[in-house]
Amino acid sequence: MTQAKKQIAPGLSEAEAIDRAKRGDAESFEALYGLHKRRVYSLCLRMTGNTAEAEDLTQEAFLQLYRKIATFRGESAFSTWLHRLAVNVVLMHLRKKGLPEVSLEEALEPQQEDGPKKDIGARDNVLAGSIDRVNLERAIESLPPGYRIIFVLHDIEGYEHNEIAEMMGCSIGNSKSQLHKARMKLRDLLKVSRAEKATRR
Amino acid sequence: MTCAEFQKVLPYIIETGGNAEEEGHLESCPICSDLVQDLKYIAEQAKLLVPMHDPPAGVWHGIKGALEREGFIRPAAMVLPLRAPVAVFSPARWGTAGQLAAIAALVLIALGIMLYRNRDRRTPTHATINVTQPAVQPMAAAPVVVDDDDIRLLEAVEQQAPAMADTYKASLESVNAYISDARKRVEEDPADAEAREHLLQAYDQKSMVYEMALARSLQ
Repeated sequence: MTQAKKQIAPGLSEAEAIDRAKRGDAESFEALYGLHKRRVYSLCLRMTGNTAEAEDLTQEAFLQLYRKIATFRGESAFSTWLHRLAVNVVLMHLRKKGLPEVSLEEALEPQQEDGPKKDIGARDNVLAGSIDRVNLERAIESLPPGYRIIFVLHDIEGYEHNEIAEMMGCSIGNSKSQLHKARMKLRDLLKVSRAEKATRR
Repeated sequence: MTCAEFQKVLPYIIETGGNAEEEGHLESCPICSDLVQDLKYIAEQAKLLVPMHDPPAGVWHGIKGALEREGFIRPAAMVLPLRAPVAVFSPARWGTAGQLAAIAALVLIALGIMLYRNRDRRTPTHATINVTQPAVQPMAAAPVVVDDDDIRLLEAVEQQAPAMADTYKASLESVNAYISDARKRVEEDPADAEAREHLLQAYDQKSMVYEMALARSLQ
């Protein structure tokens, strides 16, 4: 559905709501909030892993949206533009906090603890078909912040490594390395979770 | 190639594929093959995750409160249409009827501004009316600031639609006077919400004049 035709309230398309919000119409802004709040909040929550921070950052993202909406020229989809704005709000917040906990500039060589377990004969341990979304969400939540942010941006939100590198101020290689470590960590977490589940049965 | 060597390059080849040696190792090594299969599976599952959480209602209240405190938002009824409610013509097709429509719209804007300004002076909200003074005081001669953008706009109109030049000039003077009045009121009492409202309206009016000129009178 195109942005121009997307109806967000009876008789109000998203494009009209954007135009009206640019002129200070509170109701149109509220309609835009209603349309995009879930995605922005979920992004903040996944990136921070903390509900209180996610609420504050969602609020900050929409305040920034209101202050900057006049600069939206429609060169990309509004949701893409807003999403990037929200990502920047979260990253700014994390920088102020002095995180990520995992240094983005650490050596690229795989650490021993990150490597796969060399358990020959463990072919039945592949994850395919065994992940449910709740477990995956939980595993993502328990990732170290540095890994989690890049995993969320790349694998969930669909940003490319060059975009992540630009946003995070790191190299593309570093982004790839961090993503790999995040997936490796998730693999371990999901296998542990599966093993615990099997033990309970 | 050993597993360690393969896994060292894996972060950089998992999406694009490796060279012949790396692909050969992947095909022959069950451990690395399982690993790659798992990592790709995790990435695929992650793409299927959808936003699941709604923010609590307090988030919107916080946003709204902050915007009100900053004086950004106003009731929907106060928002003016982006363009004057007259038919849109392309400049190429803009004939006498279009010119008349544009003039009429500009006159309406100017009239609206005058009425707004006079209304403010006729209906004081908290001042005591002094019977020795005239009921309707004359408008103060507000300084009309014509900025560089105004001059450029008027010069462009003069060149491309000279018949409209006087009308745009009058409209800009009116709207600038309105802005000047409204700004003065805001400066006198920054907490005066009504004054801020007038200032926003005044800028909206000016933006309408510019949009009209750009849409109708200039190439």
